[in-house]
Amino acid sequence: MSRLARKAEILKLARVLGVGESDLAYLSNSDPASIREFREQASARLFDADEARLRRVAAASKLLPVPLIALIAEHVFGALLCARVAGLIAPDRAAELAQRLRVGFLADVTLEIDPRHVREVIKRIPTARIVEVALELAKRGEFVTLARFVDYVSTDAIKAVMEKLTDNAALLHVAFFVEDKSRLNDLVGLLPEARIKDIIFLAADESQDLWSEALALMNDVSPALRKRLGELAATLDESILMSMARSAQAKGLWSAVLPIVGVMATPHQRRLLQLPVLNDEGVLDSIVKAVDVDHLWEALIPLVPMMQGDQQSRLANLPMLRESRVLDAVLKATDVHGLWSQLLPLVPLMNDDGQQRLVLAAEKLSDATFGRIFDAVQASRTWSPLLVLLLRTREDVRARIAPLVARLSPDSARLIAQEAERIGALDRLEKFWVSLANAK
Amino acid sequence: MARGDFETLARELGGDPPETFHALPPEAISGLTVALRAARSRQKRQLDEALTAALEHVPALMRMPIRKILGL
Repeated sequence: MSRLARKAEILKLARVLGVGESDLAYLSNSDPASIREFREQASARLFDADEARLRRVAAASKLLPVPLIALIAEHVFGALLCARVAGLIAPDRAAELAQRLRVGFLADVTLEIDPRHVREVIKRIPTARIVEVALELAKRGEFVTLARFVDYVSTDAIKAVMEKLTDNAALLHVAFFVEDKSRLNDLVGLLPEARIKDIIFLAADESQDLWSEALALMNDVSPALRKRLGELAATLDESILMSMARSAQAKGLWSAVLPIVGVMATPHQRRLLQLPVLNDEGVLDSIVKAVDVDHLWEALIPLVPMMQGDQQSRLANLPMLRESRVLDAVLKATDVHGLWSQLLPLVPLMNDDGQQRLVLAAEKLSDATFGRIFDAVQASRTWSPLLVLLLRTREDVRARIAPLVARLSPDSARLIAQEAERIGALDRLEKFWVSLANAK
Repeated sequence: MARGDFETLARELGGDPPETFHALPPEAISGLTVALRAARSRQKRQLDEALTAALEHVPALMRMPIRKILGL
């Protein structure tokens, strides 16, 4: 996603500097926010450079009738200079002028203009005119420019544009480039369910290569809207979900998928997790890598109980989950988000090496965290996963655990003994009790 | 990246470029400087030409006051 955001910012900067996109190839590794900051600085600099003369042009225009200004604007000044002057003319007069200009020329002006400077003018331009210019920009594929205006155009005007702009791919592109993402809630909220479904179907047509944009849109809206969109997608044909999973795997989009799945209702989450592709070790590995990079453990861990047994086993034994750094991150996120009862069922599924490494990571946890683990397990009454870990702890750690064990209810102690017997660890549990008694 | 190149870009921009631009190679910094300078010069030229040409469209009676406002 940041690749596309960067591309959009490079395009916008190229337009401000009057160079080709390829001339700025050296920015291909820069972060989008920095490119945007530089663009705003450059834009302000270009405006400031000729501000005094531009102000005189605006002042002179007061002496001439609007039809004549429109003629001079189109035939002499051109789009770039008109864009620079637009914000300096009285808004009513500038809006009147906008009505006089050809749609094509007005679209040219919007490519050069900074909408922040013409807020008041935009407010005064009739919706019908805005729709005409928007459709012209969409026809030219100028989605970046369209998106820049979304922040400044009224919701009514956006609604009118969306009704006329029937190209759903264009809508997705525009949504992707919108700068104030909170505006997307209004935009998506205006779409009827049938159209949202059409957009999802379009994204699922992999020849269109639109899953990045569709998933970005779902992530950028409010959690409530994200839930609605995600669940709508989850109720569609399995081929849609398979398409999303294939794209997520091929394009590294799992970080965009997980927050959407995270807000869905359990039956939808379960349906997604049952996709055969999510039982593939390579796919699970990609998911965990994305989760690690983007710190999304709190989105993945709650899904663990809904996974199928073999899926859980594959996840539990991924090589990445043996790395000390990764295990530290998993345990930290689990503690912060109170997810012990969701994570611990993976423990018995880990092989010996995995369990041992997890114990080494867990031994670094604080006494308070141990307390929260015991509380969570006592509430869920499922002791075997924790028991597996406890039996592997070293003597010095057992001294820290002893006070927690001492506080367990007789019922919990009985459950622990039952589970130890069930997993064939009764003799080790006896030794564990003894070592705890010695540790006190 | 040479410090001088970055300072030249800062002068052209009228302020410090984003901090992360320090990581850009020298040719990127000089490329941005050249592009920005060219954009300013192009804009100035376009404005010069446009102001002269615009007067030809203005009714004769209005030319004097318009010239005065434009400082021509």
